Amino acid sequence: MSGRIFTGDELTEDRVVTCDVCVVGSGAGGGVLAHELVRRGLDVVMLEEGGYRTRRDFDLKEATAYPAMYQELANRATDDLAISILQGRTVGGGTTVNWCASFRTPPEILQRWRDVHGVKGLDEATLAPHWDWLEERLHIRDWPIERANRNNQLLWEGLGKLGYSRGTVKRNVKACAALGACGLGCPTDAKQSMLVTLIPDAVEQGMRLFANVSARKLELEGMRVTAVHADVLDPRTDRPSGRRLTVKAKVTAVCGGAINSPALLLRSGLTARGRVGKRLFLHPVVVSTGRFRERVEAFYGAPLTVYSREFIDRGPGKLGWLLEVPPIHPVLASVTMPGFGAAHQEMMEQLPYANALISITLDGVQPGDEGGTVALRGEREYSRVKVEYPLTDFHWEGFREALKVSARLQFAAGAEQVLSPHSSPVVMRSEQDVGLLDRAPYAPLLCRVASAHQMGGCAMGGSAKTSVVDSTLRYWDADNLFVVDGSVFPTALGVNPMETILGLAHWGSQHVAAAVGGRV
Amino acid sequence: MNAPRPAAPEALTRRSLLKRGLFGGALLALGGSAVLASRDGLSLPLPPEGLRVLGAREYAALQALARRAFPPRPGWPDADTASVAFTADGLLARGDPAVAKEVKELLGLFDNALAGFLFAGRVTPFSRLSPEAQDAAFEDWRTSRLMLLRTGHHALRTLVYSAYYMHPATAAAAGYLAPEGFHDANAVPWKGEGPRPAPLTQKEGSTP
Repeated sequence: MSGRIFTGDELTEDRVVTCDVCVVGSGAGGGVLAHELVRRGLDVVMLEEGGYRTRRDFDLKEATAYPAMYQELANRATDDLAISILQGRTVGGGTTVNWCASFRTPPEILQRWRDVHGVKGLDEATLAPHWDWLEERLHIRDWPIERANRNNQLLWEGLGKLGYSRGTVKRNVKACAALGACGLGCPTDAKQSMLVTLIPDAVEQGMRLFANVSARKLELEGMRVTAVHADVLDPRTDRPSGRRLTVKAKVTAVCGGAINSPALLLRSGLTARGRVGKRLFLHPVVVSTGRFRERVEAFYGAPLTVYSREFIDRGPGKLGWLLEVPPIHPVLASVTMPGFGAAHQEMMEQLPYANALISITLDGVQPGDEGGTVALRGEREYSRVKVEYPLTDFHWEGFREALKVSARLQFAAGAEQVLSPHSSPVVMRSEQDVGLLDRAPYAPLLCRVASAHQMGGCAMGGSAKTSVVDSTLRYWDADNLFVVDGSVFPTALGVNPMETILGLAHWGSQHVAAAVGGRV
Repeated sequence: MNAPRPAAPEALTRRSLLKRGLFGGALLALGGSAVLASRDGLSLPLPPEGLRVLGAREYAALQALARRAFPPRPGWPDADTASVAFTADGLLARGDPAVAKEVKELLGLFDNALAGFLFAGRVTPFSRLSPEAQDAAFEDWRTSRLMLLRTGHHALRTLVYSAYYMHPATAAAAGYLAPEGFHDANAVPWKGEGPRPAPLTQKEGSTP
């Protein structure tokens, strides 16, 4: 049986469809889950509010990619705009537009989920066969340092000179031309995203995928979800077309990610005693920009292939971080780099000589660090998402120390100048200037913070009093409702989250299948 | 131990910003400051294609800001050539209408002489200030002790930079040329009907 991908322009009248499982969201969680359910012979319907963009749409231009494939045109942010949030919104979700970094979950994080949050049955040994399968199918392989672009080589060299631990990053690519445009959609289909792997596999086996369809509300009767009510969007305008799609499924799996999943539950009146939307983790990031005499051209080549976890554990009460380098394309660079007017233009003119070093902080693992919240502006079906994430002295201390380490690394690698991410940047011309960072202002919007990883909001745990889903990913208070995405993480990870979400979904599919009566 | 603390009470939100804007409007009505608040801003010819979200004054205020962000520079399009405010209008039209409404209100506040007086003691709309005074006024918002003004600065700055750097000439000026020969605009998207296309095969490379 062959399934079908439908887009909003094909849905010209209201429709009601029935199935075994409705999967809401098509990213790392939804893509894997749907594939595994279809493989078990179940009838699966998948909803994706983003469009069905394929390699014919991936023209390597930011002007095309950001408005079409990112949440809120790539302008999603916390309510006070202090943290910008890059998040995918397209078929394949984040896997279509991320930078391919693939890490298994750090063992200490899984142990923490067990010991502190009461998660049962989810350890390294349990997940290993799931990761093995995924790594084979998605061609997750090491990207050797010899193939790193100059941007990553600079990090590698800086880490080596200062004697810090360093490693190369596994990537889910096959026949990669290293164009550097992973964040804009891969025009050669080298990236083994859900878009080109498990979603087409599932469609071939019968899955129906509806793109440009935004799930607005779950209808419940007692302890069971009876329907998912969704708006059809016009692909040209992204506005509701006036058509509705209703999915009546035996089981519903919410896989919209750490912001949209809690938002859908809240719109549906599901709060889990106030836990839905809490413990949102963003891996808050600060960026240090180095300028080199040589051309770095950080917009070309595999974007993220070197990392260091040297500073991930700084001891009790301290915020640790992961070090990586991102690609630096002009639009992203322009809004991230400090300054205004001619001074900013000069920086942009030097973009080919820039290296950016990101410190991805590990939130949610220190006592009292509860992260942020997802809420609604009002309680209506069409209310907007409101993301709040208080930045405190705890964060600013970590950011400041991370920026000092970054600057030292960049100077060690040969930078002639390093700029901090302050709105009025600290300009450092040698390692001796790093101390200037101690005197800079650390406050929202005076020091820029970003996020490309969203986790939590529907935390998994051992008690209905402290979590949203149980250790089988089932919503505590509904028999046939599961959450399968990064929103169930009880903490952040300290590594890029894609492979953890993939593994969790692959493992969790047995529980969803069991709930519908399929083969486990 | 340096444990996390709750957010500072000054952390005002975008909605607070709007309320402050509306508060400014209420002051106008109650305080007899109509002359100040209604002082005309810059007037610019509207784009022939028309505007979808911004009004004429909001358009002019945003373009005035863009002119300060992107002064003439060899090899780069200036703000007018890049049609920054027009592009921003298109971006706002593609996004959430509620966000567009907030940005319009923000621009209203930004170019409002009464707000300028209340926040900075100046009585001229932003778009009518001298270039140097415009730079200073925008800088005042960046460094303000009021979170709401810093938020406004960030929102407007992000909007003009996003719009400007979406212009094809700016990406090239910044050194980024999209690799050629890889994008196939005629590739047919598979939707499940007929056989699935074979994966592309090509030689792996370290750089394009």
